[in-house]
Amino acid sequence: MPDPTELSYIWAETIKQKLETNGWQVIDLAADDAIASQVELALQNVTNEVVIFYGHGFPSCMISQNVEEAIINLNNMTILKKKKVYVMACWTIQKLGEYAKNIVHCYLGYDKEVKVWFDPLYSNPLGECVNKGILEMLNIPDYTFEQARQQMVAEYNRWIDYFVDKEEVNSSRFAAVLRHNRDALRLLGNTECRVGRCAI
Amino acid sequence: MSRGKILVVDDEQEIIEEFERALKKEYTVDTASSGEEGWEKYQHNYYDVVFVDWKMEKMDGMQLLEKIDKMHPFAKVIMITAFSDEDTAIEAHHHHAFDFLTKPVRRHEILQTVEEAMRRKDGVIEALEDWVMTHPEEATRPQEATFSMGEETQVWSAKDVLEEMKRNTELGRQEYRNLHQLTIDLLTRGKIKSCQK
Repeated sequence: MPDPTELSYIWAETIKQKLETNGWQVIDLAADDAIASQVELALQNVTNEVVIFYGHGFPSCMISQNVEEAIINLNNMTILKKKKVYVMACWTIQKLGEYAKNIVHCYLGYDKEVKVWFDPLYSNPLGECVNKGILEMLNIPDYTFEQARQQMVAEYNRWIDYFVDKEEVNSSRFAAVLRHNRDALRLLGNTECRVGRCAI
Repeated sequence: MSRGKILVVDDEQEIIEEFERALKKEYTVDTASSGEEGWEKYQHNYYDVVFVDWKMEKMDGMQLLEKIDKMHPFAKVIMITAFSDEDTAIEAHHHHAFDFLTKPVRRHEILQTVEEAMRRKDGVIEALEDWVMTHPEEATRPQEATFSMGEETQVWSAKDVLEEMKRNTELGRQEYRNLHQLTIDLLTRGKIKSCQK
């Protein structure tokens, strides 16, 4: 049975490479390293400013894939204090984002399920949509999170138009999936904050 | 082979039997003897056409029509009434009934109305049915999932999604709503939001 995180690993890897190319130091906590203790340790280091999470989510927590435990939830969310948070997971902005919005700089995430299709014909464009915001901010350091969110919406719209124009049932279904994800995207906290040029 | 699935909701057993006799050769007929039973069945099944008696105890036909309309704005609900006046027709139309039939209902009227409703079958369901039938391999391939975790990761094919729509499950309703909203976006260039909740 395919697992959607197989795709999100690929998307996250693209971001990691871009960060490193731009001179950022990246702490990559993937697979077995994606556990609460490791994440807490990494985030307690005050120099770590940006938190990017791609994976499974619930309204009140981000979930690690391999050990299926909450790695950030309402109990340890203070580790997000003064961080810029960029999340691709189901629902986390509903509660975790809402509760954390007063301690984080900003929190970009989804308030519904994030749907995915496995065929690369569809998953690659979806990857471009979910990555668009952070990649734009890395390309243009003056970009705010709000501008990044708008770029993501524009990217979703571009691909929705592309799939609708195919005038084929399955493509239209996927356009509806993109539309669903687009409308679930939310930004909380200081919408004018920037990723900036500094390293993690 | 059944041409579609029909629900008949009426608290008079004779009327139900009359509809069953008229329809069962060509359609799969499900029945309910109260508004409550009809709503219970509707929530867990997809029906191409629903016949609803206007006057029933507790949940009457109009209340059932409103509930169905909220869930599926394009549902083909045909009201059965003892009255044929203009006010009745306007009220049924106001609540998005597809049509109404006046008692005593004649066999040819039942068949004719169903035929008309089937001709205007829900476009979303019809398009998906056609696609699944003409793309059997692609339609059964596991394709869709979410970044959430249940007891086990769920992956759906297009055929699964169509079945979920027909069984009126939460997933089916969400998929239907997403397609419906996309259609409205495309028709109005995003200027009108869908009426669906």
